[in-house]
Amino acid sequence: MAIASIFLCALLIYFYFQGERELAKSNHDVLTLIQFAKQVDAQLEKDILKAKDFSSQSYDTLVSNAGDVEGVCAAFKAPELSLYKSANAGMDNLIDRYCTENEAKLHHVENFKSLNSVLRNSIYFVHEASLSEKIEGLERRIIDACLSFITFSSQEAATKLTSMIQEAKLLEKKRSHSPDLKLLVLHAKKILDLKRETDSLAEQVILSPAGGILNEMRKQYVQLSTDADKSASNFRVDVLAICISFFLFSIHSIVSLWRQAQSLSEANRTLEHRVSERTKELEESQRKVLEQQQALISSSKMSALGEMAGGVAHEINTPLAVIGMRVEQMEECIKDGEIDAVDFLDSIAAIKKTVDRIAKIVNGLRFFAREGKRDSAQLIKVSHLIHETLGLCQERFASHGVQLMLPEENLALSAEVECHSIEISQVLLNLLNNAYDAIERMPEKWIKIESFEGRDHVEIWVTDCGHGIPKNIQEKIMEPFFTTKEIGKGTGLGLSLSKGIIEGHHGKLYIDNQCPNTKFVIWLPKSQPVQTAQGTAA
Amino acid sequence: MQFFALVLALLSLTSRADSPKQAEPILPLPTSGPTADPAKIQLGQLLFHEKKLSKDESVSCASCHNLQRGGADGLNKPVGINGAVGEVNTPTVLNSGFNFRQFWNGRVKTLEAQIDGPLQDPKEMGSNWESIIAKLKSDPEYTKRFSSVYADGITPDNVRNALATFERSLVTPNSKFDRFLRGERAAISNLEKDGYRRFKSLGCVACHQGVNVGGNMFQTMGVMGNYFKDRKTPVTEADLGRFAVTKREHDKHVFRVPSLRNVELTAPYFHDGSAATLEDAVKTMAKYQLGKDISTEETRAIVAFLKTLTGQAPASNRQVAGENSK
Repeated sequence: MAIASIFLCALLIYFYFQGERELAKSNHDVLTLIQFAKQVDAQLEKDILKAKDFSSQSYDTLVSNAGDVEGVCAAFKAPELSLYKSANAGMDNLIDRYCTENEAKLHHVENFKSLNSVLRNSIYFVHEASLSEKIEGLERRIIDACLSFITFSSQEAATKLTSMIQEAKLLEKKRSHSPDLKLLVLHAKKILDLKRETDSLAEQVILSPAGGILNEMRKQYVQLSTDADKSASNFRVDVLAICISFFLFSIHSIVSLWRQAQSLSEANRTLEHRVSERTKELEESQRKVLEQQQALISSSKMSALGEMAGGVAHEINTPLAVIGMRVEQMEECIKDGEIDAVDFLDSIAAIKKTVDRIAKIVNGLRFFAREGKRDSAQLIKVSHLIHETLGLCQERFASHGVQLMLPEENLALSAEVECHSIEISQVLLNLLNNAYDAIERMPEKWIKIESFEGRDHVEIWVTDCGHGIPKNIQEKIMEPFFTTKEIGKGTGLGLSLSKGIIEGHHGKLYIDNQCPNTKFVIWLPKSQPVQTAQGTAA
Repeated sequence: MQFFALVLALLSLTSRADSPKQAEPILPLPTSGPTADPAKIQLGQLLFHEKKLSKDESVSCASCHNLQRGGADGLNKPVGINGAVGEVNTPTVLNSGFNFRQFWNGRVKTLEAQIDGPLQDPKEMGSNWESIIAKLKSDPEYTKRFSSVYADGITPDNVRNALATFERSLVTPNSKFDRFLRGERAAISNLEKDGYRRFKSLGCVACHQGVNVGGNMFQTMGVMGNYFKDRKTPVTEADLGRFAVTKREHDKHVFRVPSLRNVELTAPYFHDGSAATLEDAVKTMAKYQLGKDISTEETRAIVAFLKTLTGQAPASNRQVAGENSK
């Protein structure tokens, strides 16, 4: 029975991770594809503009870009993606529209190449002819009209050129028409016809609604995948709950088996002997405790990190979205030709600011992940501790409507304390996460951080809008494996380890019962006794 | 998710193609061919020379795409089974993997898709897949070779793929002109350089550009004059070019611009095979595409340049040349 449930448990865990991986992979695939499609679009636009200005020398890149566009359409229609589009008929429709638009676009590109090459030759011919000094009269006038039409492509220039071509035709009828003039007229006509046609083809390619459809697709897909993600994460919590109950059940079975075996074996004497033996063992291994506790601190840190990873992704995602939006705005401005330096500088400043924010978050993460036990206790500003820690969670708090309060009058910003900053930061983060978990479902959510400087100690207070901790569990919450959190959310180690860390610093971690809300106090001496500078959890 | 690997490869390709400014409109062929499975290339080569692919087992792909004759047949129009004469001049198979479409009228995009055309055309090989597959399956050598390369053995798709893979390996690198493009200034003579200059200034290069010196766009035959009226022979359906595919008026007489690589070897020229020599072809092109009657002097220089586009025989064909006597 026990083995069977362990097996089932393993199976469920496997499916749990498998499902998660699949989902993440396909999300990534679809968004990558949409992103790639946008790049391909942009590249094609760039290349057709280059060809239009005759600044590119061959059509090879245009051809390979057209191939990419076809590849993207094929990928959108590939069966691997059917799962995601079939979830939504709108998505299907968008893909169809996108592919139809692209087909039209590629058709324009083909025509463009054929006409553009002829136009290029005619323009080249006229330019060459304009350099010859022998040419005068009507021929010179036609050349000038061509040049002005090429440069300005205005209606006026077109009319002028048309009338000159008429004039040349009359001459032809009178047979007073030189072969040179005939060729020039041929080229002038090509320029007149093709300049506008190629311009309009290029314009149709660039203004193709395909880009807009892609934006729409991304929007819909993100909506779709967040919905799917939500239901999937609900499902995953269920699966995890089942896993854990199976696990508990299997432990229960093992324990009862063990008890049965126990009752069959010798009785009291053995038991007493065992107890004394165990006590001895414990005493012997006492010197290992420090080491083990360090390992626990580290592993709890890793699990806190895991919990946080999602949060951090969010922290970084939001500023990234800001950058993306700004860049898109700028891109649109450039496309519309409305480049306003002030607006641009504004956007650039916003992007810079946002990049700084991301850098800060990443820094905080590095600060947190550094292995704590290697460095010795150092003097550090309390404000620094608080800000580094907040960098890791404030975005998550903000996005879930948790108000973070740092009342200036109650912040001893300049206070310094000798400590292992990473460990203290870990304790603080733990308290903040606990507070967040406790108040997540409340209608009005706030967390307050304050600090206080005494003569030779400092205090950091973390208060949340909860109504305190019931007296009967106040004693227990600092014990290992005690948790009130939902299954799968907490390890039950956070507070006990936090307490260990603070006591390792010769400080105290306690609940302030005077406060009507839930308030934890970290009490730390300003300096550490010399002999314990190495061992924090003694 | 092979597609995404492909996407990444494409991305890196496009960014690379973008970075150095290409000063010349013609680009050299890559010196290393595509890295396809050699066994697949060999199988493709065997099939390329396989007469069983035709109805009466009298012709193979190589009958018209003779690799010793620049990948074409030297004829005005190709001769298929029972001496039937085809509609258009045989385009070369060399470097055909670099063309953006296949056939004169560009009706298919890939070499794989091209294969069905000549195989089933009653004037070319006049066969069908059913009988081809049956014939190949009865040959233990093919059964063995196919199953060593393809999981599902002999199928029409695999035959197409093997042939196309072989054809893509038929690249002719290191022509004199490519060496010139790569910086070896002395690789071509002064006359040839002069020819290249004229090729550019006359405007030939507007269409014949890129890595394949053509093969990447469509163009009307007769931009500056009515070629078909002056030709004085009746206009055939094949003369309508791309119109046969799209039925759009503006696609009448529109053809894929042919590659000029190895052009020296592939006379006669044009879709109708009407130009017997390179000189004829250059003069006709100048007249109908550029509106100019060019002098013998100019023609001579351009022809000299065109001959520098002849590259080395494809590596794959040299390697396994002894094997195809089957």
